[in-house]
Amino acid sequence: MKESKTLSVFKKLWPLIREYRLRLYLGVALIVLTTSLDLVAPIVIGKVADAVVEKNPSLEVVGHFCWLFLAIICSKALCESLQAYTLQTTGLLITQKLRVLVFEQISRFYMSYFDEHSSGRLLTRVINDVRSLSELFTASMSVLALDAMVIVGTVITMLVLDWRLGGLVLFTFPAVVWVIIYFGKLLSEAYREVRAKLSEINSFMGENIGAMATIHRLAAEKSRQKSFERIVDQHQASLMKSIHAYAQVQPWANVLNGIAMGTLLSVGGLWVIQGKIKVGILVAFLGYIRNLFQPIRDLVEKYNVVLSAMVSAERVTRVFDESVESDSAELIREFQIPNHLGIRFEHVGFQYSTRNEKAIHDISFEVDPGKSLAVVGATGSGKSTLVRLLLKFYECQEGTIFFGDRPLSEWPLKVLRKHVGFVPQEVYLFEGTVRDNLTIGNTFGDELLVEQCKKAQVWEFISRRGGLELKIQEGGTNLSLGERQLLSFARILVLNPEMLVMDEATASLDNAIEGRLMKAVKELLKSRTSIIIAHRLSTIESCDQVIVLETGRIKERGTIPQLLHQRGLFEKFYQLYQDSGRLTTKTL
Amino acid sequence: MKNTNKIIWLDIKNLIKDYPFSRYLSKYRKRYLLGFVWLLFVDFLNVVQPLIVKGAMDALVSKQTRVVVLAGAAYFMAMTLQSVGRYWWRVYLIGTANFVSSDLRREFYEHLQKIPLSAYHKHRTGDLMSRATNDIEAIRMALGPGILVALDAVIMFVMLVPAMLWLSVKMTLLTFALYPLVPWLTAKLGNKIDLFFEKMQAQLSHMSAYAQEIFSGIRLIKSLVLEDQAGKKFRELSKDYVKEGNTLARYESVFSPTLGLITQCGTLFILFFGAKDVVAGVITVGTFIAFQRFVVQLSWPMEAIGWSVTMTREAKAAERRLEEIFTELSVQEKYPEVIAKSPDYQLEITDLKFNFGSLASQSFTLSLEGLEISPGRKVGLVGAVGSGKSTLFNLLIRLYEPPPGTVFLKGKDIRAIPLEELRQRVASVEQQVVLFGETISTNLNLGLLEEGSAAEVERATRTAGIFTEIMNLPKEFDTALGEKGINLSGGQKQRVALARALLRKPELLLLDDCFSAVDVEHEQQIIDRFFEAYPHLTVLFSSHRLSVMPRMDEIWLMSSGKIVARGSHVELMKSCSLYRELWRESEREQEREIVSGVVTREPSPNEMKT
Repeated sequence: MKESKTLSVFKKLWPLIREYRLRLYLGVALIVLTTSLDLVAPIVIGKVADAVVEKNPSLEVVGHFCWLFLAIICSKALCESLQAYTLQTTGLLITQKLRVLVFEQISRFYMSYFDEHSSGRLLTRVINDVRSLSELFTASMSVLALDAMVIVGTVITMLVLDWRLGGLVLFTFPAVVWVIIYFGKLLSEAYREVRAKLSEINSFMGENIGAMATIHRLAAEKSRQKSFERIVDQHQASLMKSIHAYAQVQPWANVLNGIAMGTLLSVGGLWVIQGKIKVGILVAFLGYIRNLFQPIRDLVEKYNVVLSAMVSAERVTRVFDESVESDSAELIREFQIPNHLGIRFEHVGFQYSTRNEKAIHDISFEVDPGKSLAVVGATGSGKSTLVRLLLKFYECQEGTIFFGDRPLSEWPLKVLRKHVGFVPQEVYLFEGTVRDNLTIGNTFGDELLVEQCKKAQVWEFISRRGGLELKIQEGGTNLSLGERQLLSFARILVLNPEMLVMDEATASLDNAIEGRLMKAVKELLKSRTSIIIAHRLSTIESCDQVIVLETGRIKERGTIPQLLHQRGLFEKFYQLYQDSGRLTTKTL
Repeated sequence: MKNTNKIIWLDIKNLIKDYPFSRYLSKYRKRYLLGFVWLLFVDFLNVVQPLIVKGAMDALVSKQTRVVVLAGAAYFMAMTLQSVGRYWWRVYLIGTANFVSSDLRREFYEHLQKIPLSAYHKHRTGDLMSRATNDIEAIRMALGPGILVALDAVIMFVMLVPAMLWLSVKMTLLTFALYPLVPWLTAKLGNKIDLFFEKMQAQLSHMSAYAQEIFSGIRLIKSLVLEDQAGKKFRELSKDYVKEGNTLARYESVFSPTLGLITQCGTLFILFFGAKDVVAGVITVGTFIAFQRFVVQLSWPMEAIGWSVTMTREAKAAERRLEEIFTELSVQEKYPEVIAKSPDYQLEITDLKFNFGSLASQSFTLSLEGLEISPGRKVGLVGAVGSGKSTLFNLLIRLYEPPPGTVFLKGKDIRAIPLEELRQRVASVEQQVVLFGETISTNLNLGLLEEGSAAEVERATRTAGIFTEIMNLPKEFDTALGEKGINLSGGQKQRVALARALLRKPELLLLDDCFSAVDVEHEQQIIDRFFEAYPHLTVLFSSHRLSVMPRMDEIWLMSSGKIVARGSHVELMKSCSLYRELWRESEREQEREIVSGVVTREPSPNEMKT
């Protein structure tokens, strides 16, 4: 069962890294070569010993063997070096490939995935899981392969050199295998507990550092400290357990090694005296036994590394199993963009998978091409959901949305989003020049860019500071809040989409900027089909119609005079807008 | 001679003193010493083994059967004894390092609880977390494996070299012939390796910052169809990472095989010159073979030194970062009393001036004088957002330290009251309620010296209007909250927090707009019930809604850090235009709340640190 899981994970990942197989094969070949050189060296030392002991020393023979030995150690160093370089760089390439793939894959996930997973967790996939996975393919695998190869090679060589002595010395070897497997399992369990406890410590820390004011308020320092120490004690206990387990590995290996060496010295020595074997064999075996027992600790340790890397590998494969937003190229090519891009919602209902209530119920409305609609309502009334459905972040579960008289489901995602300009509340600017931020990868003439910046009322701010060449820092921190907002408007004007969806920013701005903002918004609305989640009275006033949402339903709709006449929810809102200190209508 | 000895001893002492967190070395010196003894034992047997091999080989050549068999047995004995040592040094040296890291964790957290809230303006949660995890781990590595490896290497050298010299000086010199290259190689390549390793780490954190930015702004990325471009940028960052990595791989792949070659050259020299000497009868076959074993054993200390240097350096950096927190001054538990006042008033404030100084998120200075509350009075605190209400509350329980002789509780300067006692006597409920991810009962009893009885808990929760709701939960008071259990709504949380404060049986209760998420009617019910159930409790109550103010004995009107008017609701409505304005605004706002459920918030000290 477990084996098949490992295999299926491997099967899924192999195609992704197949292109590096030659490098991997080369690495393995170099491992084999290094190992064989390691196996030859003791024989050479043994031969020298033979020559020396036989007291028939043609020093010439010793000289030959020494040259041979020099050749062996030099080529071994070379092979090791090449092997290390090959595997390490291959590891890097695999890491890079997987990391970029995982990143791209995640960025194509449906929005619902992002609702359910914190960005911290997604980051772990991209950074840590990929790293430990590629370590599995390179570092761990190579050490494992090397160690296994050394053990197998040594056993075979010993048996070939002298099967009687070899058999005798290797008598305890099955016990070695048992030590590796038994303690490997024991340790991986112990380590798992250690990791679990450590993450408990971390989450405790995170929660309590964030709540420090409350802890002070309640004078709860002592009881919190006690809770913390309880976890720390548990962590320490589990750590000690793992140390006691690990501390046993080397002693057991040592005892087994002692038995093998004792047998070799006594029996081998006896046989040499009796003339059954040459002293060179004995000397060579001294070297081999070391080769045999040294990898044990490595193997026990790596067993755990491999197991935890498997966990990461599984997580990474799950990333690739997740469904993503995608359009077929064919669909994009064949899709005919309708001429008149109006919007129509017909009995649309939607519920987020993370909530147990519908976000919107039975929403129907229509916005004619070139007209604008303001959406008004309290937080949580479903305004943003409308926008998200329109951008196909989520598929609506009930009813249909028509864009340009075609149901949204027929629109390829990318085409749709290119035709719908979205201005969210929080502005997104990336590191790069103003030009980069305006064109986002497309090519436009500078004249057009400057013209649109002027229309968006932002040119005045940036022209003094380098114009289109102005470097924007990450997150746009070298611009003021208002300037950032205006620049994002300029971007939409440059891209010139047929339809505009805007979640108006609520942040209070100083009057000068606010005035400019209004002008820019007017510019944006000009001859574009628009849906605006409105927070400012001036915006509402310049829209052709208004809908008022409450708990996911349309409560009122109509033009402003109609709604005011109804003396319902909207009228109350309208009063609030007028009173709430936003002097925008007066300044305009 | 004696003098040089002394100097060397001093050097070693300084070396130990400079070691990161060396105070733990002395705290656990017994365990470290035991580990050291076992290590000596193990390493001694390590030196013995080649000597046994030498004996066996020599006996073999001279055909002494008994000695050969005995040598085999002796080798087995040595290895078996060594296993015992190997077990114990690991337990003592590595195990003790775990004690140290656990100690450090406890101390670190304890200290975090002691430093003033203002220190959290400087250090973010994520940063503190990383110190508590990564840096403490680095210390653990240095004080466990780091020390072990360094000691092991030194002991091995110190023991092996005399044994080797004893067998043959010439052979020893041959073995070490190329060793002088090692420091040169380390200086040449080791530094490069460190450099590029750091560069790789920096590039990696660059990449994760970028990925974080993209994932958290994914909505916009998708709406602008920027996925491909983000991927391209990430690929480029990743390419740089690979480039640094390749350079690192180049250096690393030269470094360790070359070290191996240097040791192996020792073997070669011994083979070549040793063979001649054996034939010439200068050394025995046994010595010749034993030296092969010595060379093998020397390879470990060579690797180990480099390791331990890296670990120590990382631990030094970690120590600096941890000490930065440890040197943040703790809040002083209690100050000597300067003056005392008459114990007639529950709370008295005279000539209190306070501002945040450089941390100014509030530009004005809080300036209060001649305020007092008699026991059992209910006082309302009213003022616009940012007028200083929360700051005043925080000063009263010394979350921020008021100047001496300005705030008195029953006539005693609150600075002269130990913190814990003060916060038992003065309970406070904040607007941004924090409940911990444990059971409701644990949350209610948090910080209490004695847990509340069932009757007390019921009384407190009933008064706060949350009892029935708790009883409807799956495990009633034992229901876990947060990630481990259910999530309460904002209003429920606030009511639990009120119950939590009542359960403490305080003399003075500070309520800082703590019903912001409870609707108006409910708020009034709770207040009525609460005033009736706890008639002797002194209360200072602030709310952004003024609807419950008519129920207060007295109202303080605050503006820009000063109390600008005092009196009952009726009086203030008559005499104070600012109060009237606030009252009108609040009425309007309540309507808005009824319309939309919008909740206005003001920043609490909890939020200020982010």
